[in-house]
Amino acid sequence: MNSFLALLSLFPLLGLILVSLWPEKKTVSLSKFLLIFPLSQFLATQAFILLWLIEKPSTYDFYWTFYEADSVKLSYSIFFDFVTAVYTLMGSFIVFLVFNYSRHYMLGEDGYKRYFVSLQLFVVGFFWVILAGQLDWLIVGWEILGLSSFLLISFYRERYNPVKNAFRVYSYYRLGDMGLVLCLWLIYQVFPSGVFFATLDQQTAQISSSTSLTILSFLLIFVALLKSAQWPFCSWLPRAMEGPTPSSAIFYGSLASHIGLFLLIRTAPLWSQVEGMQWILFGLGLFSAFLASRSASVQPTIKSQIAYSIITQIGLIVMEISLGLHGLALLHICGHAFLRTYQLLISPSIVSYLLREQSYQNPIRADSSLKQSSRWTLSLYVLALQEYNLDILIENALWRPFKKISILVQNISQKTKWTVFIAGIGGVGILLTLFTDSSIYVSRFSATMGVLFVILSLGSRGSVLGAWVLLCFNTLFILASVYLVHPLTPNEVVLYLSGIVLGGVSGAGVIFYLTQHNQGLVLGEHRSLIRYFPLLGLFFLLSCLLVTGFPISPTFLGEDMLFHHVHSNEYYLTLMLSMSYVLDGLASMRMYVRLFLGPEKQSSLPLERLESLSS
Amino acid sequence: MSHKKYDNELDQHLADIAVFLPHQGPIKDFIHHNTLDALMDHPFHEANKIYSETLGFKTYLSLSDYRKRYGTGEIKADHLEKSFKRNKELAIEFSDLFDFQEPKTKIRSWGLLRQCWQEVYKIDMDHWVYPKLFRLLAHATDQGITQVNLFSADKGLIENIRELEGKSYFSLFLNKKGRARKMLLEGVSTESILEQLVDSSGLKQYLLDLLLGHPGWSGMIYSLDEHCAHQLRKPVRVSLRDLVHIEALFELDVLDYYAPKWSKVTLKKVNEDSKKSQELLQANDKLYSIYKVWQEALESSVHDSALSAIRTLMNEQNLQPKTPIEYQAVFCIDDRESSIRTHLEFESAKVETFAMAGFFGIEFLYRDEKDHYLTQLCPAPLKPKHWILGGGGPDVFQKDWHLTFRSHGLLSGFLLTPTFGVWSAIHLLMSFFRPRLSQVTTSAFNQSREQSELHYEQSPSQHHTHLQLGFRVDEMVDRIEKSLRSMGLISDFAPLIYIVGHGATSTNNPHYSAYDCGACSGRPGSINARVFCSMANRSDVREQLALRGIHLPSTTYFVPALHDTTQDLIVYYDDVQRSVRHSTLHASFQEIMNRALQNNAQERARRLPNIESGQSASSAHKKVQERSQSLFETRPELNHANNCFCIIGQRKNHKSVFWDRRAFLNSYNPQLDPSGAILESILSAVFPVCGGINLEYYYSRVDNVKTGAGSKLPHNVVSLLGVANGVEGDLRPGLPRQMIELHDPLRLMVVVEQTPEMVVKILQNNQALNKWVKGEWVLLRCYDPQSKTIYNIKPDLTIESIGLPPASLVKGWPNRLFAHRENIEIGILGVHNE
Repeated sequence: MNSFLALLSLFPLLGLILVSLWPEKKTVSLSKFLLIFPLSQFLATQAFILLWLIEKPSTYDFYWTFYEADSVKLSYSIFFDFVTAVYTLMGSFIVFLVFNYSRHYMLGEDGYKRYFVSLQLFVVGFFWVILAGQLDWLIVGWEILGLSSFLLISFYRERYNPVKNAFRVYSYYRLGDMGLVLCLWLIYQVFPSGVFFATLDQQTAQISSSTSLTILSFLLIFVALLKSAQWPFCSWLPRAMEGPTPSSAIFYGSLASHIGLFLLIRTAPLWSQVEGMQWILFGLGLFSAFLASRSASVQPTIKSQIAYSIITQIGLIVMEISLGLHGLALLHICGHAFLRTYQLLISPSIVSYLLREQSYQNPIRADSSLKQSSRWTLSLYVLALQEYNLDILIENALWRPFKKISILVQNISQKTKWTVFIAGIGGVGILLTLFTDSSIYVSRFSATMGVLFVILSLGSRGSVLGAWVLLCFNTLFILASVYLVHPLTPNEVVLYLSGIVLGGVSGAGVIFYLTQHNQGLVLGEHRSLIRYFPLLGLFFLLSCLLVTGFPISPTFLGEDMLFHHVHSNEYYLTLMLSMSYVLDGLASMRMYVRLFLGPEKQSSLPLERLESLSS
Repeated sequence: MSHKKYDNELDQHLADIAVFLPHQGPIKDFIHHNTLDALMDHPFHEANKIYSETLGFKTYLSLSDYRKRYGTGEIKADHLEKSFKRNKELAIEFSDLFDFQEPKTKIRSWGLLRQCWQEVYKIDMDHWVYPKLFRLLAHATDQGITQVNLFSADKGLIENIRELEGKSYFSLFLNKKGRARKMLLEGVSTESILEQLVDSSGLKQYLLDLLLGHPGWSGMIYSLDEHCAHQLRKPVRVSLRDLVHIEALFELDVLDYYAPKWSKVTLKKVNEDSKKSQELLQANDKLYSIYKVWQEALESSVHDSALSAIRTLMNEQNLQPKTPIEYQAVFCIDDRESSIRTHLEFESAKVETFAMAGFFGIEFLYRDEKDHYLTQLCPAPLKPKHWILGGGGPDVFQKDWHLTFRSHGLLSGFLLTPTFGVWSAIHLLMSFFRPRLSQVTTSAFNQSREQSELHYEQSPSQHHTHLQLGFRVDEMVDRIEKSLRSMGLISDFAPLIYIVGHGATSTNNPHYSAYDCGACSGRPGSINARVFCSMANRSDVREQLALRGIHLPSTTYFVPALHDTTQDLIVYYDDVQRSVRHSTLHASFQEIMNRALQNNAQERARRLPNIESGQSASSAHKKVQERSQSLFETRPELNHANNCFCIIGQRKNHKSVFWDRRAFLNSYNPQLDPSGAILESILSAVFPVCGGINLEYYYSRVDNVKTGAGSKLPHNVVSLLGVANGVEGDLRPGLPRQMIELHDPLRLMVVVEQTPEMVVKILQNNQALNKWVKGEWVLLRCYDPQSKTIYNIKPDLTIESIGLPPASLVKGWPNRLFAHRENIEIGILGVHNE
């Protein structure tokens, strides 16, 4: 059974490899494969669950350690219980349905294969999350989900809105990923030997509650609610509906939007230890459900209406989970996922349906009650219509400060010249090293510099290569900062650096090639180079993933270990580390977006020779 | 640009700019129209250039596309040479046609001024303003998607927003104390808001930038204000001025918030024209000259083959033995019906076919007794004075809770989702294997049911005071007479005359209305067919017709029917039990028709994507039916794709031409029309309807991203008015990519069987028609029934006879021919020769 389970978890990966290698032009055979593969995936899942029901062990767990050094142990682990069973069954069924739908629906569309590669990547991530036996492995799946989401939202990669919203959603996801990485760090503080989901209840029973546990619980809830588009992160879900309709259905209608709930159920033994946490969760769920249901009622487009209805029901499910009603929650999740998938798939029919309803049942009313409405009703109405301004609030709260810092530093450095500026920083570093006894300060300084570099890279509107170098240097500073407080083994350093060096060099190579072939390549505008250099685009995306420690990169393991080494009292260092983690992901993806995606800027000349001026 | 003159500067600017907006109304009444209809005072090529230079949109195929078509022989070398010679006043060399490269820098005046905000203050105005603006506009104009909507129909957009803003504790603006909000509440004029943003010199440019930044919404607001308001079920009051007002306020707000030190933009004329820009302008002129030559060469390459075929047939002696005609079938002029006519005639020599606009000359509004609304069942520009009440129509509405708002509520959703939610998975699964999803499918057959009642006779009515319920007998006679005369069907009546309307069936398709009959305002034509037959079968009508010289024998019987062009199925609304002879005749017609429908499906399958080529007739017939009900089929049928001919004349002169479903065919007998009045009325329908269809396909094809609606896969239904990409996008008027990808953008060539002198006379006296010919928006030819010569009617209404090569022969009908996927050159069907 264990090997069956292991195979099951690797099955989607096999599909991903096969789809990626499929010749682009053989659409007909690919479309046949896209029926057979998800079907066999679904049947295999069913077979396993049948066996599992016959054998009746309540859970399965299994792990295989592939790296062990010092106190660090990394393993591939699987945990299978009732919750996983429900999610795998539901997931593989919806995947089968949506693949079957899409393989016809997408015919004749450019990027047929690309669509299915992204979709299968999503399936891989989804299965790894729900089968993960440990948080470490769950994060791998989680990050893959984020990436595939980005790829599908920006499926129409030469249009402004899809690309803008893909990046925006990715920035939310990246924040969630950071939360999870911090959770991982805290878990090692709370449970030095690590945590397995299989034994989570016994392990938590042994520890008394502590600040770390409380923070950990808050972080887990933060991550789960963010991924479920709960308040205050509601606004990304409707904006994510830019891809082809079936991809919106599988992502935001069903599987991806319910994965946060999975995390909540999975880690329930942990956060329910903290007193009052379940009521906070209950309140947040209720609040989100109420606000979202108001927003749903005023939405004038069918997809945004469904999006807010999804948030509403997920809010209710969060409440169910907070009360410990896991069975009800799972039932609710399944019914909800199926319903929304179907609703999104038939959303184009709303025109004929509503017109028929108006004709044969309820004619549309033209009376309004603006006059009679009370001020509070109107206020709520305006808020709901504005989607509570969450979009702008979050953007201002999270990303504007970085933009401001970046502009400030750029202004300073422009005035003082780069060389002087860098020399200045170096000087401060050397002074610190010389005149302070403790390496702690140097370490903190180094981490801060790392973060500053990546902020600069993120805000850069100029040289591409410069931004890329800043980005790569950030990782070195981070390495140094950890090294200063805790000596790392050469193995670890090599592991951490290998991905960065590989990715850094190849990325720089791509940029160098592009600057040779394109004049005036800057980060201030979209260049849409993917239409001329599709292979280089893929290559650059992979470089970005390597540098930023995406799970395909050895750097991912390295980063994991860096967090292991940071002590529990080093909050500042942790903060800097996690900030650089979020920001370097964003900075690299922004470079990819600006260079390769978006509408091509056309040089144009006005017919009458006019010049615009702002006096 | 605009004919209207306004005292007010702003209104004048808005009217001038509105010329460039798409004028498409709500999606439920999708009516094809020329995308550039407001520029029709200019000739076609000139309008293309103006449009493109203003907006930067493409108005021709790319040069590489033309050159590729030359390479494959689609554009013939001699036609290219002729086209080049015809345009010798253009300053280009012949080699330019092949060597010239499209300049990288485009000429376009849109976007000059508004980009200041981005360039100077680094403010992405679109990002901050559009989502909010579109949401507000969609909410205000919503036709049924929102559950809670407090916008009042008696007030304009601005008053509504003002009242909302005034009463709410929360603001729509970023700065709650800012001047934008204050200006809204104080009721400041639009002009003074714009004054804050832009210097008076740049006002027009700024308005152009602003309105054409989102042509979809600007166009919709304009259409709702100007000419589509009556199509709405829930009235709204909006105008372009309102749109500018609110958008300018939002811009002001964003600027105050993100760039507090901003100052307004101005426009300065640059005096010295730099050498580079001179060169660019010259290159652009050259480019459009080259486009013109290529486009005309492409058109004449295809068009002339059809003229050759007609000329050959016209001169041919009719040697075939005359079989007695037992059936006459009247279809719509729609290009989709051109092939079914050929198949019918080939199946049996006893069938004669005719065609006229699919409302069959009877203009009225219609309401089923269960329906709350009237629907127009005639061309959109007509303003009918009659209405008809239907009784006992099919129950087309069933509640499908997947599509209702129930599941969106907090509590109702809580109760529904865990319980019934699971059923939706089964629903979806079933849709793959047994696709019969009544509520997501829109079927033409749902319009009317056999034997259901139609109140088409006049009776006093209380319901619609300005409309008359039903027709008087003399009104019926007028209409029947006119229709029969216009088709040339006034003698030799067959025992059974079928009046066949048409409609379509598609699933999960917001553009469904574009698939139905255009002459019935985007609805199926079954009611019109039934009304026509009921009238024509009345003895009192026939008596009066006899007085007017049309003697319908009592043995002649009219049978209404509806052809579903997607599924190739037909429904007869009468079982024809009048006499034994009639019912046996009807039974054998049904057999002939069924075979014709199968063959028609086979012909259609030739071009349909995702069907393997070389289908047998019966398997093709099965496949086209399946795809009309499939939830995931984005191309249920190809609609008007590839249309480029319109033939007005007697069937015998083009009966054995293989039209490849590219021709609108209108029956007309010049001998019955000595004054030209019939022709004039036919042309009055053909030019706007067929020309409109043709040009909408043209512009959606040449720039599907800008003037078309793009791929329909990410479309999101907005306010029941239109579709947009995703949640934040602008409305997308025009046709989606899946409808036009197989269309070759050629203008419509109208060929009339009449003397050129008569045609010219009609045009000289009718400016509305002449506009189309003068500007070459359609290309007009006529074949003189006396001299048997084909003439070209040039834009200045001079006449020139055309020399034509012999017609080509189309071989391999039907199986071998229909295994081809590519375009087939129009020619004479070689079926008899093999």
